[in-house]
Amino acid sequence: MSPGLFDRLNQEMQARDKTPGLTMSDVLVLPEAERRLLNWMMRADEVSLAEVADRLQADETAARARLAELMEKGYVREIDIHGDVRYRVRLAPKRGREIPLNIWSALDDKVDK
Amino acid sequence: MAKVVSIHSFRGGTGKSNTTANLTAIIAQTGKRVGVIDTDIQSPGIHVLFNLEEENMDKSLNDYLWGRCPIEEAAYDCSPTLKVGGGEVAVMGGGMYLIPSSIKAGDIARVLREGYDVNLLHDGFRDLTRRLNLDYLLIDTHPGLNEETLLSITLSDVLVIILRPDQQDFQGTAVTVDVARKLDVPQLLLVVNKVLPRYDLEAVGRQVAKTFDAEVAGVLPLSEDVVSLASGGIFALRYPDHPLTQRYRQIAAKIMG
Ligand SMILES: Nc1ncnc2c1ncn2[C@@H]1O[C@H](COP(=O)(O)OP(=O)(O)OP(=O)(O)O)[C@@H](O)[C@H]1O
Ligand SMILES: [Mg+2]
Repeated sequence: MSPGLFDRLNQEMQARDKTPGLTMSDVLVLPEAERRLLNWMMRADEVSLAEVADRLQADETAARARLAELMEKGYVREIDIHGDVRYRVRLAPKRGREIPLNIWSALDDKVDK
Repeated sequence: MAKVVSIHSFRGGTGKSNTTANLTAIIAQTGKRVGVIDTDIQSPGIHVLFNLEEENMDKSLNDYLWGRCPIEEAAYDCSPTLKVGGGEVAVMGGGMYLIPSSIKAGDIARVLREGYDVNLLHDGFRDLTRRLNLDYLLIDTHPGLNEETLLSITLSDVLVIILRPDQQDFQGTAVTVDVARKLDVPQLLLVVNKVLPRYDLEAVGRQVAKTFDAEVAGVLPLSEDVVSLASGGIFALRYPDHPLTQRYRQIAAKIMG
């Protein structure tokens, strides 16, 4: 393997490790209010601030705070469709099996020696 | 907006793929446009019922998940196999489109090894529905609960859970029913399959409905005719007047509401 490719794989694996996002198995153990909001968002595909406020029966300031919390956790992302801001659930990538995620750094250590 | 219907069972071999294929054909015969997607990436199989040969499978769901093509390019138009009273169903505006999972060992291994972007699966359901102008999207799933199954359930308007009259199936179904309720699925339907024909099917249905406090959309007998068809085609198309086909139609009617 060329060093260039090796570095790239290493970076990719590290980035993967940090990728935020919601896994469906997380959803099952979330507090009910959060779980129901995220289920609804997934089914609606993408939603506006006003729709979230409506769903929460709260004002837009409260809805914005709620969304900010979910974005901070990496569960939701903001998308801008021609200046129109919408919110969408961000799902975590499905990780492969078999290969431990830190394999590249483990290999790197070996190669360095 | 298309109606999304997931067909699931906790354990394998309950009849998910057979039921999905039959429901697809029956709904399409009523003049609807129906997509069917095989999310059983690790052990795909429903393409067999649609007689899609491996060598004719150019693109699959895997290609879409790897960014090689838009999802509709992995859709196979199976409408020509549909006939209503001798006429082509396409004339009535109906159709069925299958998105298979790859049956190549290398592709299956790759998706298990590397994983994939689940957001793409989420987008794919939506894009497919829009681009093929579908009325229904049926999702055949892998048994048990994995990420794609949980996502499919979450995005479904209707979840059909299939179980056999078997203690292990009963326990597994209880788990799935629980999960479906947590995921706020609007409509939950149970189908009991492979019931010994000497049993009182209606009584079995009532018993299961009571056990799970859920609607039973149909009770299907263990059928020698299904066994001898051996997944070689879609039962309801092969035997349109069979009593079992009638039972599939009843389930379809419940789904279509
Ligand atoms: N009512 C029935 N009577 C007799 N055999 C049936 C019936 N329904 C399904 N089968 C048979 O059971 C087997 C499994 O069916 P099918 O492949 O549809 O199940 P599945 O739930 O999709 O399985 P898997 O979990 O492996 O994907 C097939 O051989 C099929 O022909
Ligand atoms: Mg199957």
